[in-house]
Amino acid sequence: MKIANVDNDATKIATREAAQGRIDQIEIFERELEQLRTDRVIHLTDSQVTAIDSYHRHIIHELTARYDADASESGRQLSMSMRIVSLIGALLLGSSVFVFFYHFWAAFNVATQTLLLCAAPTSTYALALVVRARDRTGYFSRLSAALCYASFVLTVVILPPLWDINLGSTSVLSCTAFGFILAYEMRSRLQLCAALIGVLIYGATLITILEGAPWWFFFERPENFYLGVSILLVVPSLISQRHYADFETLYRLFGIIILLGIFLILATWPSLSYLDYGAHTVSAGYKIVVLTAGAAGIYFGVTRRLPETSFVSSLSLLMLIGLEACDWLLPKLPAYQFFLIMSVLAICALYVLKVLRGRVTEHAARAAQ
Amino acid sequence: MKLQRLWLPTFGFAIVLVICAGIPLASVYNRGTSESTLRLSDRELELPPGQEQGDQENAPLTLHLLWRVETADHVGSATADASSTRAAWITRSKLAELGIPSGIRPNTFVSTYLVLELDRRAHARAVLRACNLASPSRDAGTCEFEIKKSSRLYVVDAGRTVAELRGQYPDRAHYAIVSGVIKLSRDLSPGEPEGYVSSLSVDTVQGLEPLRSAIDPTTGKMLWRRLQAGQYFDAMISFGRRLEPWNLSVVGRESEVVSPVETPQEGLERGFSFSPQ
Repeated sequence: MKIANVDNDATKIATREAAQGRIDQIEIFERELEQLRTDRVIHLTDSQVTAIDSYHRHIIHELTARYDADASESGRQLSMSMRIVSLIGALLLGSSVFVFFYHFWAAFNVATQTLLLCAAPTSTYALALVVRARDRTGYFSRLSAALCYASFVLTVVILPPLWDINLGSTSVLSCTAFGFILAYEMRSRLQLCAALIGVLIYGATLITILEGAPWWFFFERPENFYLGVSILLVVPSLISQRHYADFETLYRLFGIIILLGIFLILATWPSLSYLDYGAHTVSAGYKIVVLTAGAAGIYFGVTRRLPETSFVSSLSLLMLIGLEACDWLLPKLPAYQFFLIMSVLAICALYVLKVLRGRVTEHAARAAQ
Repeated sequence: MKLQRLWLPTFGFAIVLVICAGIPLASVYNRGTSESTLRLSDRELELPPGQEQGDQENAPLTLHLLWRVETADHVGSATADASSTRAAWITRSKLAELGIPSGIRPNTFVSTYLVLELDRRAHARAVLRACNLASPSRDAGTCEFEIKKSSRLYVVDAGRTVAELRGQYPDRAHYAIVSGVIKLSRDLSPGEPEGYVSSLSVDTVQGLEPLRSAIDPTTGKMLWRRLQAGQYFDAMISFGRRLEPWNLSVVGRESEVVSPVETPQEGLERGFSFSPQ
């Protein structure tokens, strides 16, 4: 029997995550097809069933061979365990490198120390590249990437004081750039998280330096993080991330969490703001901003099907309402009345979300028709 | 296609190379010319707190510059945290010199150049205040501490440029110019602003032999214990083109450095009086 376009279908897939998604889709289709046949909704001849089955078996075989994707539930559970072990292993490996260096460090002279510090990221990066070329699962390449990143950060932290040099915010910039390289090279979400945190910090240090303050006071003013947040929110729309599973979501998630976090912090502690219009005005202004941004985030998340955006936005709104309630009601009311009012507020919030969910479902049903 | 696959690894190796080559090169540049060289002792070079906890790891010994600030209220600052001591010399006119606007927000941090003074007027004034026989609050312990133990290194001034400060403080053996941060607060009274020296941009130097590591490789004993048991040392610390310090030498000494008690001739010119208030 001729199996049409199997190779074509499998070669369209570029990542292990996409391959796993395709296999999951086939499994769901097979279960639904079985149900439809049992309920006698459709009738397929044996040859048709065999053709579909062979087609799917070929795709599954191709994808498991090429990307080591899991074709069974037990395999998927083991993969999850491997992912957790890979993360823990990465942390342990990074720690072991640090402790090893720390324990024996002073036994070496400066030249040997410098050589070791430079050899560590170079060799681990080369190792990570070799492992990536041979590792179909990606677990070992991510593990080696984490080891490489730990070595690089160690070098950036230890080498400057060894030579009595202050790198300043360049250390953050170099760690961020290297984090991005490893993230895209190894398709590692962990490295991307490190790089995104680096973008936020480095953006904040640039604003801090412009203000005339030393770079390490970047955390003094939450508004310093606006530059980094803007970059995180804009980059995915400028540079496509579709070949990298979850990367776009991570950019958006980091951007929105930090943005709404800044708004909430400044609404609560307005003295941290650059705006010099009085604490009350700044606080009120930022509360309005949280309400507007939260509502916009929920709408945007629901309409664009970005669940993490709507989740974070609704969480920020609830936090604002909770903080305001604590601020206004807690000093004035006895505890039982306060908690009663808070529970009523929670029920109201639940009702609003239920109405919203109903409208979204209705909208989706209409779109399907 | 092949090039596309290669550019990320190439860029990765390039970053590692820039860091590994750039730091020693920056150090060579810094050490190319010595802007100033101070002869510090164990009084001005503090062992890091972590290594005083009895940590047995053979970590490199990092010496912290123990600097002080002269206070506005004439109270000795020997035991006070220098960064939380209000600096007498940060006045409204000094802020104007530094180009800092008069409307100061609470906790404003400003990067600037600072002058470190070793064993000159500021320390002489501190010794005299602590040991002034005419003072009813004179304490023999504080006096002895100021004479024998306390740091003689003071942050005494700030400026916008190195050249301007070097013009005012030409003695490169007793005055070093470093990068640092001052912290300013709003006036609590209509008078002067509140100013503090928050930190120096680099206030550590790596130890040289025989104080290179936290433990003695031959005996396995903690070097810091040996030092605290009464061993004294002198260290020549140079500040280079980037105003970053490095250790030229560490030499052991048999006895402690004792500061003389004498009236500083230049003391009164800056508006300080030695009588208790």
